[in-house]
Amino acid sequence: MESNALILSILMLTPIGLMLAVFKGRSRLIMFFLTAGIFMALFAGEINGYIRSVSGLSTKFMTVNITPITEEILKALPVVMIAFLVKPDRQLLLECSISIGVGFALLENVFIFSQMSGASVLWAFTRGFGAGLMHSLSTAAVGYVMSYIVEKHKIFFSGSFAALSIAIIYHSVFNIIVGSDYSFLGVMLPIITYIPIFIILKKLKKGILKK
Amino acid sequence: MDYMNTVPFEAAAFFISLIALIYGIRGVIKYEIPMYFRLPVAAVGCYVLEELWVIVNTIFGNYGSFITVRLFGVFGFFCFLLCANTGGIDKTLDEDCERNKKARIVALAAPVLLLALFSILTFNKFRSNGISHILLSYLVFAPAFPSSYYNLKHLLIETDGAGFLKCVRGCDVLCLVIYCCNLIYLINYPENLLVLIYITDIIMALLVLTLTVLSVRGGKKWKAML
Repeated sequence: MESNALILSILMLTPIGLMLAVFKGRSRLIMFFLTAGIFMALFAGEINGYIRSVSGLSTKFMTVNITPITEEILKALPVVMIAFLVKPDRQLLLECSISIGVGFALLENVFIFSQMSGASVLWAFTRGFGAGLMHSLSTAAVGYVMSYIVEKHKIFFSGSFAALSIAIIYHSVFNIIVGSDYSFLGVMLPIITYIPIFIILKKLKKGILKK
Repeated sequence: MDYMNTVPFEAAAFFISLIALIYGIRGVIKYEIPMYFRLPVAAVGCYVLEELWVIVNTIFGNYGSFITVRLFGVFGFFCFLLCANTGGIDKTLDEDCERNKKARIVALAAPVLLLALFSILTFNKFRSNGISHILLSYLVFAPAFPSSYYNLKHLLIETDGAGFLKCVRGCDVLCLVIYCCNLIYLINYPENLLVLIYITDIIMALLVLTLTVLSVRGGKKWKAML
């Protein structure tokens, strides 16, 4: 039997992939990175599964200490790619990074749902606001830092590692809380992070975000 | 060791560094300070997340092991400081001229001393913990070595006419102190020396707060000179 993640990703990737031919310019790029996020989620699932089977680590330890590393590295790869190949403006790079996070969260949430026997609307909100936002924010952080360092070769590596470190540790904090008995608190972390960022970006969109 | 005992200290360190981060973000936005002074604020962000991770882990996760994702907080912190020191700022301050040659050579003492101190402490403390701890500690601390070179170099090179060096020297001194403080923390953490962990926690948070204040002020001064 084929894995659920593969089937779900095909279901998601096919319509979006076909429609990529219709989209143009900025929209196409953003949609492309949405599919890249879905693809990376599929890839991350496979890698995490392999590491778990080889290392014999517990699921809890894996979700706190290993999956944030693999997932954030995989999500950062398309960001690095676009930063080098397309050299977009800061806003577009940020939007593409968020798309990767959204795509990643999309497949992850649907996959977790497919594995569950029963899920409530509350669970859906928790996953949507929690994991959805968290993946988007952590990839956005990488994209934001990348937009500053992509043309500065001297600080490229240290900057990339720094951005990845922030994303990994943020992801891990979220996973610890979500994996605890107080999983609802996990939703608060991305929301608390998102609201001030949203307000600041809204206010400074014209000043700081544009090159 | 009962890690729950560390929570009040970690929480205090977290709140101090959170105040530093908010102050730093406010300064970055309000004064639109140059890149060099923004990066220490980003480093503080990394430190805040690290502290949050430690608190959350102690309360909900209880992974007492030394090798955890927490180390990415330390690594990221150093990487941001390295970024701040190596980019365009170094070119602006050093100018690759002959008169700074001596400073460039003497500045090599910083990473050498740091490496020596680190090696002595590590081999003493980690003997019981195995090679993986030693290698991982070197890896985590790696960005601090080149960064310390630039920090010392900026302190040693002759003051430029425009006075840009005056804006960065406070940050440079503080960065060197932070490396030493982090060294003590990194060495003590797996050894469960509680009192040292408490003290270094609070000191680090205060240093981070001072670094943010100096960065914002330095950035303001720098901008005024342009």
